[in-house]
Amino acid sequence: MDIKRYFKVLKRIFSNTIKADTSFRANFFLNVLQGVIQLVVLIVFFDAIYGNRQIGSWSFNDSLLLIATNQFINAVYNFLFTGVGSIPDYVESGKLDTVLLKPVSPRFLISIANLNIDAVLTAILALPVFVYVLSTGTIKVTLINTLLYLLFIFIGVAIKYFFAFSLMSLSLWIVKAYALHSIFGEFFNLTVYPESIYKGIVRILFSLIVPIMIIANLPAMVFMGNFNSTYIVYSLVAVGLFWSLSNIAWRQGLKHYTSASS
Amino acid sequence: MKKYIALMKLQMKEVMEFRANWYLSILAEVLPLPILLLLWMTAFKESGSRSGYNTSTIITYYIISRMISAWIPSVWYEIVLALRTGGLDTFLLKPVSYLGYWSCRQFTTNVFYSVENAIIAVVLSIFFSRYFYIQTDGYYLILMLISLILSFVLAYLIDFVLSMTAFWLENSSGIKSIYFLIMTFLSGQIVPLNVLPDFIQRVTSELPFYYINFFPVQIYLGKVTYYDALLGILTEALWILSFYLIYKAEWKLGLKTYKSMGG
Repeated sequence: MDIKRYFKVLKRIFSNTIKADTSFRANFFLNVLQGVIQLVVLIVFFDAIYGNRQIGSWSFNDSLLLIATNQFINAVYNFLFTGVGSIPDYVESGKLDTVLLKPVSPRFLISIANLNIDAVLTAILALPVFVYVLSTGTIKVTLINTLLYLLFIFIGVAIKYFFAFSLMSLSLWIVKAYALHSIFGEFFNLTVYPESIYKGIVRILFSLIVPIMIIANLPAMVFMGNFNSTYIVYSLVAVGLFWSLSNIAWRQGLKHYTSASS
Repeated sequence: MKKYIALMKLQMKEVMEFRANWYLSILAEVLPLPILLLLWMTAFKESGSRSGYNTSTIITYYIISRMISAWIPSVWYEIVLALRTGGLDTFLLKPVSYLGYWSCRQFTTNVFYSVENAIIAVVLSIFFSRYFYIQTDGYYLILMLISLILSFVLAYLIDFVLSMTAFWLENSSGIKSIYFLIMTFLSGQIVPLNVLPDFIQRVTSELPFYYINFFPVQIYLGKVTYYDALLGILTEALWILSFYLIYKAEWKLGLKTYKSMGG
């Protein structure tokens, strides 16, 4: 693989995005407003559920940490991979043909096609929440913790990407599949729920089949102090699993794909 | 009337064509619900009840709310598209009223979906049958049905009035997503309004969104008296009237500014 070429493509996409984004600045204010409302609603929702009590080992404070962590992961994911959501559009319009002809990996090109600068907002808005949790002194921050936290955020983004990519690849089979967007959206709204609600078989289901339990919970648990080293092995297994799943879905899907229009 | 029946037949065909897509979207509606309920059940296990809700009433609340929200009509996308691209021209030539045209299409879609929606509601209630609260008081059921029908009309009119701002605004899709965010919260789809802090409750009960989802479910659960239910239905009707008048005014003013772009 020619790494240099990929960097060149990435650089070009980045500069294009900046140009496109700065010409539609009117959206910026609405995006800020939307982000703030979303965050406030989420906090009110959890406040209503917790009402001064605990859910398993999670206090309301821990839940705020989970909300912030989830936002960080969403920010990175949305910044890089908004393109994944438009796979159905590529298929439906037949645009996928042009992508397949390009001299870079079509998968890479589709995933990174639209960088979303506004996604950074998601992380910025979550910062005050994160700082608030830090100020309450309920979490332990050390150098090792911080490094582990960042590692698990990275793993969370990877798992989310691989899973989303597999899901969206389904559109190679079912052509008119706008609803995949909403399934995808609804699923990833659930990553902000604390892991202690899942017990028994449901726990396995939501970590190794539909990974909503592990994406944001693991990094948050690093700071909460109830973390053990087996999670590292476990999450690496999950990354491998979802990586192969996305490969299989994409390759089999392409075999199945019969160009739409044209 | 014949014209409207023709419209309904057309819409029927469109709905049938997108069936596979619709099944997927129902999956999206239904799947998160058991997980949300799991969250509430775990919270209640630690603490019993909250603001008059127990496991049974909260589960019933969310199942009914989910069904209502699946039914809430929206024609925003189509209307904005028509206004922005000049597609309104063809409507002006049609022998039906604008509101009538969209209502007719929306009504057909909803009737078609209601069968499937009902099946899903039954499946969910059986799945949670140990907890699902069944209202046996006939008066409450009738009152709930009336307020529910009115709530669809109200939600539809608000959506319609806001989507017609595309006559004047360039960026109405941004406003739309913010409206949906606010509406889902203020209508109690995310969390029952009476679990919220007092001052938020006082504000939400004065807004029209209160009647879209929260109010019918409260009647179903028997959490309001007959008198309050009737009073609420009356208020709901007044909101509908107000939004209808706004629509009328908007339409009149809008047509004056409408430039028929690309037409």
